[in-house]
Amino acid sequence: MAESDIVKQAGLLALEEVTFSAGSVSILQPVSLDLHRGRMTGVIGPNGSGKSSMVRLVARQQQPTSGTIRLDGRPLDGFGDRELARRIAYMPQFTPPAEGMTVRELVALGRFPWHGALGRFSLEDREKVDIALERTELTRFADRLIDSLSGGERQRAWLAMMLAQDTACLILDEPTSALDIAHQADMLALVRDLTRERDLAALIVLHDVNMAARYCDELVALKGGRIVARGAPESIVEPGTLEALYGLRMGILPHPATGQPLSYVA
Amino acid sequence: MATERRLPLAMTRRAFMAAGAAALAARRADAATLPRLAIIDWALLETALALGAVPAAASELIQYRSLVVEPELPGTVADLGLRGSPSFEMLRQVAPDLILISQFYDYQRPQLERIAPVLSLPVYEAGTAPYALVEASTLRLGEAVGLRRKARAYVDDTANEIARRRAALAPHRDRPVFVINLGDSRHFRAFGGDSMFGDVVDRLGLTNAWTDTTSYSAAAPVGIEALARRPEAGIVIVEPSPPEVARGLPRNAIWNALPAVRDGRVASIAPVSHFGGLPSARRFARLLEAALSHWPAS
Amino acid sequence: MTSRRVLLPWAAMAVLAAVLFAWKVRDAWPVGGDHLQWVILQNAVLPRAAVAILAGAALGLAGLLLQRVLRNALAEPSTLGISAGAQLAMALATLFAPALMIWSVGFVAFTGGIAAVAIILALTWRRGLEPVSVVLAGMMVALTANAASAALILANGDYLFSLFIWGGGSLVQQSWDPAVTIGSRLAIGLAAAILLLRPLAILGLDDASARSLGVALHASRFAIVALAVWIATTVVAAVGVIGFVGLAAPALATLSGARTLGQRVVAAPLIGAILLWLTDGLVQLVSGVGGERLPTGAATALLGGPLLLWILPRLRMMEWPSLSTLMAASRRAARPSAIIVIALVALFGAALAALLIGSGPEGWSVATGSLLADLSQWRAPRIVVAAAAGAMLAAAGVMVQRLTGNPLASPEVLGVGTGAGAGLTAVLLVNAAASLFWQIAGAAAGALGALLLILGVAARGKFGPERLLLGGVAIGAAASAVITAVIAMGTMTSYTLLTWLTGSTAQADATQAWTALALAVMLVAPAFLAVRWLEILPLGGETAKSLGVPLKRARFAVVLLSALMTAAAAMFVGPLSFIGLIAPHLARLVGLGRARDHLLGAVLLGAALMVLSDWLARMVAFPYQLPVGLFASLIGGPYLIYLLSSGARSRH
Repeated sequence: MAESDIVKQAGLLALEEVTFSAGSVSILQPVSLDLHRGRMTGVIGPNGSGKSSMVRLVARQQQPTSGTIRLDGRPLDGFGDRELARRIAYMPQFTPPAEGMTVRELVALGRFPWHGALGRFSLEDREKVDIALERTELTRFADRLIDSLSGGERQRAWLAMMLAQDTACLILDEPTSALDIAHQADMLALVRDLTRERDLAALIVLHDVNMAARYCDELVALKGGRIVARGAPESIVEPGTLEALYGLRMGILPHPATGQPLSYVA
Repeated sequence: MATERRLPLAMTRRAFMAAGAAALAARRADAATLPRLAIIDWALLETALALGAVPAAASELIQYRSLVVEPELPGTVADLGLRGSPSFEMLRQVAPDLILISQFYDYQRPQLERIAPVLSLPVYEAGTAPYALVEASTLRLGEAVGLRRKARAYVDDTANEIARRRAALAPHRDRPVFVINLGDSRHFRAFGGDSMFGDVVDRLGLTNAWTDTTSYSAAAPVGIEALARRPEAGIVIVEPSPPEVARGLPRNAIWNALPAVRDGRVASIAPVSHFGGLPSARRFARLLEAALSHWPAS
Repeated sequence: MTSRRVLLPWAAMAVLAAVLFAWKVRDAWPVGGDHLQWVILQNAVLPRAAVAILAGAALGLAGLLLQRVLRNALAEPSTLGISAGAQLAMALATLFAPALMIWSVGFVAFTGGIAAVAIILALTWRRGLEPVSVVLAGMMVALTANAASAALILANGDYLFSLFIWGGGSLVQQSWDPAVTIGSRLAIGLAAAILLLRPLAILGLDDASARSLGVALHASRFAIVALAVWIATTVVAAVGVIGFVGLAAPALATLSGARTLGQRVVAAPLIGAILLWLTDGLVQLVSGVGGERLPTGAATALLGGPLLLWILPRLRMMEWPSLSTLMAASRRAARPSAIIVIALVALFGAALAALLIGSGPEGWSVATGSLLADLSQWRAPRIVVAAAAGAMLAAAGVMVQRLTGNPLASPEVLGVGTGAGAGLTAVLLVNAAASLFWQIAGAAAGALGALLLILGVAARGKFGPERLLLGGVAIGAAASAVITAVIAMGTMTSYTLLTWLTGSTAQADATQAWTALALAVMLVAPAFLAVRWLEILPLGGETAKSLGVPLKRARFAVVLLSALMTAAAAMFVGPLSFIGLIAPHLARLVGLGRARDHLLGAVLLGAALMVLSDWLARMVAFPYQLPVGLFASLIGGPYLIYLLSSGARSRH
């Protein structure tokens, strides 16, 4: 008890007995979770397990039906729109096409929480945008239209926007679902590195268990709106947990190079 | 600078208006020459033409020639465009002394008054038989353009002509008549007692078969079967009818079953203005007499 | 159990319609062997009921077919502009090719209807016939066709009466011919629908699945659309425009539990028949002997608008791939400020030309000196009013398009303009000779009413774009129905309304000019305070929220501002013009992509376009003044079709 209290206090974000239902359908059972700076947390689970709903609640895209979400110990409700956007950046599952917009313009939108609707776009704003572009290796694409980019580049541009937002927390809802394997790896590596460099808390929904295990510091496994397992990848990627999660017999092999566990359908 | 120079002119114009069109008219009454007229309303246009006061400009002349037909319009009259939205630029360049409108166009008045004094004469009022009103307006128009005697004479001539035709139509005295205009082969509009056609029918000693209230143009479409309510009535169709009628009406079972149709008591007459003045009243009376002369006496 | 509960209200309505019919029959029953009364009973009372039932069923079936093949729950003869297109074709033929009307009204109507559908399909083809876009394009086509019809009526007062009848939709009958015609088409349509049940079911899936199932996709789709148009235009040719039955019947069939396509093919025509039969019975109940004050078609539309608002939240819109990238500008100006300067020069050039060049009694001339001083008092106010209206519509267009992320959205579809028309109608009903002040006051009140309504609808959907657009379409349709009903009464009020409907700056004077200018400045200036929101809003609600945009407040402000601008512009130039649609695209096409440049460029180009349209309207047929709204759409329409059909190609 005492131990978990300490963890809660240390956490940047905390979900306390959070539930969510759409109409009469219960989507999230009471869920409690906390997220820490410098750590990348992956959310895995079968379709309809409530992954997206959970991260959308954390990003305040939706209001929980009951329970509280705290950021720095303060309830999420108490934050102003822009105040929250300076703390949490969120990438939706389907990023809009951003037609007719250049990469730099899109990334610059990340500064909105800082300058607001009428404020000046300051020198600092410009610097943050440049840094975000550089860090995502998009500087040479800065003046290209988003429409002309490849899927991987486009996704990086959205990540750059989140970086420009200069938040303590990144929330990404299946950022790799439309990417090929190489771009998936690039993207996840980039998010992990950023988590370390900037001491960010990252919460990321992933479909692919192996990818999640490869890059995340911690995995949260959801099923039927409940957290069925939580912990280091090695503790989640094991036949028992996976079978409970997906209802499918799965086997595990060690990664030939890193020794991390790899799952396969038995 | 330009504004300053134009100022006195504007002031005289305003003074004119303050004095009112009637004052101007009184002064003009003795003048040898006619004022330059611009006429928006067709009833007043045909009246002015009948009095020999050819206006400098009037509206919608293309339609006038095909729908009102007479009095004939000289080629010298400039076209002002649509009655509903005459071209003020054109009107300005025509530079009339007096603009004639009816109350339907009162909303244009502020604009028109910037060009010349405006005389608005009532021609139709809902629920009132219009003939007397149009007579009065004819006289006022005559007064306004200095043709008082001519106007008086025209009013009297028209009354005499209608009386003469009334005598000629005596054999049809008790025959009820529907005066209608076809909207398509299923609908018509009736002309009741508050329309010019209805009023003239009464003055000709005939009976208007349409006794319900109408709103002067009586434009609400009525189904053909309503004509069956007076089986003994004759039917006068005022042209033009839409082209589709030529095909649809002969296939209309109710139309064909009407006693008037079976017994040949249907006549078509050439277009006459629905909102006309005395000249249209005369034209209608003449065409009606000619049409009815082929009918068996009642 | 459930099916019985659902069937009960329909049975009750059918019984009510039958009672009304029986009452009518008793009323018309011949006493003492009156032959004429027999003829009337046989050829007026009975076929009228038959036509109501058959036309209702035909429209229900046409709606169902269109909704199925276009996979669009809102497709039907009136939302797709089929009725309006048919009506315009009939008006054109009456005036310019009377022989055609004698030969076959049905053919003329079909030509107009199919042309309208062709335009809409062309407009939305590249967007994959996305439902909202199809409805928007349909509304545009319908508005333009109606404006063109109105212009024809105004210029040929003569045939006005027949056009009123078509526009209103009257079920008055005097023979069995129309009933037989509609009935035979309905039978063919039903037979075809039953034969095509399987391909129809597959066409309801997405294209890829349908193709992989071996359906000749486009051929079957076009064949069914043509069939539906044929059925619908037969009804228009026979009895005029009957709105909303085609929309309501299939939707109500679904809501009443008709789940399979086979069930719907039976239920939709049945429900359509009951709806129209009942409506017509009620219309006859309230009509006096002096003619029907409310045409049946207008009555259905009057009921249909609210019905659409009620159905909207209950409809499950099919998931549609977002294709909005197709409208993206393919290039961006290197120096937007230079482009804006050019747009400014264009505006002043247009204004100067409109001020100086014109026709007169002695032909064309460039006015100078005293002539200019003289004419400018007429020309200048019109130019100012046109420019102000164009600027406001363009700004509203940019805002609505950015708010909804839909390039086919425009202020016209907010329903605020037609709401202004409904207010104007109310004032003119009270006093046909109401002064301009009262007319404007009425229009303002109507616009405000529509505005509040749309804000209410939008608020329930959290100001979500689709709900907003469709709510606007519904309000616009209901307001149009009011206007149509009053126009169909054929009084002096009709003329005034028609004049307003077609859009005219003819009555502009100095007071109006100053008012318009002041409104434009007061409303367009605050729009520039919202440019940062406008930059983010097209990216959708999620992104806007995660960037800290106060979403509800921002959307509310944008809707409010654009509705006010639309209302203000509608008071001066009528409810229709494509300026709100075209100007934002034009600005984008010349390379203005950022919200601020986009807004500024569109405002300048919109003002210039409107000044140009007004000059053309004033001068093309001098001294006959044509409707400015019609010119704006004539300039903009073809360009828009080009833009939409070539937009996708430029990307790859």
